[in-house]
Amino acid sequence: MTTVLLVVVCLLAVVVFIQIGAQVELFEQVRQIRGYLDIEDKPTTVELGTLQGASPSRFGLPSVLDHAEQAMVLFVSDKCETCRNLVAALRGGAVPLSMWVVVVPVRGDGNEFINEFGLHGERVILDDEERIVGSLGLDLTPVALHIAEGKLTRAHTVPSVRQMYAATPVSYQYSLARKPSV
Amino acid sequence: MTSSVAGVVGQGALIAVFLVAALSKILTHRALTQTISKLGFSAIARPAALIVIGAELLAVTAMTIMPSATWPRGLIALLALSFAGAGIHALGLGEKIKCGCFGGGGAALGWRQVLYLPLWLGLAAVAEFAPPSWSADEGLAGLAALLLALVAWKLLAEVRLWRVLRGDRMVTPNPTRHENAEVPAA
Repeated sequence: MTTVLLVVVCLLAVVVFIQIGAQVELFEQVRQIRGYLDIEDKPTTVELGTLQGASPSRFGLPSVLDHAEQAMVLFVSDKCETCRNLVAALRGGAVPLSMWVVVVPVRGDGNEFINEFGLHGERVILDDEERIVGSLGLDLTPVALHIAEGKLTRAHTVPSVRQMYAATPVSYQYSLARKPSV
Repeated sequence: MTSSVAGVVGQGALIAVFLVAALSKILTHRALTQTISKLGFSAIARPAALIVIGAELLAVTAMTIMPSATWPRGLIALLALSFAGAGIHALGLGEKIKCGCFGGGGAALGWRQVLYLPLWLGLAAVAEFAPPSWSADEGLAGLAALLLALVAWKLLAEVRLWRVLRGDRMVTPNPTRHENAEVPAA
């Protein structure tokens, strides 16, 4: 009886191993396809080059950032779909602490976009005439620009809401009770 | 270490290694068929792949339930010699041929198989000189434990992958609204 039971366990274990192995193979293929289609939730580094270590105010960003210990500036345009997904999460000005939002108007003057998502707050900036992105040489959105000790440190794309919150220097907790303070 | 313990360790190691190799080859048997084809045996590649997998499983099962029998260790020695021969043949062809020894992976056939030959033969020889004396039930219990450990290992790999894919799926925008996902700001 014991022998039969052990044989059954061994056979079942082999079957389960092969089935899980086949699933792993399938998952690997899906990941490969996602990578090929460029729909992985992975930020891409944006090279700052000589801008690294520069003061934010040099590029038209608020001078308060020159004294920020840790901060992140999110550049969004009113045209890209990912930007709309990101600001939809910030609707009503629910911008996490230590995060600033720069709205780059492409289609209009940007005010319509700000009003649509209720992006009203002291840490939301409208980049009139693309003065900030122009001086930074930034031609992509959405992009997160990180500031540490008042200096530009690094930048990367923000492919999702999840990555946006992950990029905030002060960890942000989802809460059903209240939105983060502006 | 007494000789019997050495035999248990030697035979146990052979069982573990060849079990993992056989199960991995089942999952990627086409890769093994391609390897055999590239070695110049395309006419018999498919049956040869089945024979290799079958021989590995047979040797593992026999070493488990008949620990003192000589022929399973002889089969292991034969398999090890075949792998080393395949490695030397691949080196002679001067072409990089994927091994497929443990399923996927990019390792190529070559010196590795030749270097492993003394290890497999050594373990088989140690087990032959001091054969283990466990019963068939004890062997099967050990095999079941090893298989369950392998299932757990594979399951961990699956969960890791699943988490990544699920995260990607949760953040992927509705495909009907994908236009201008990332556009120049200016």
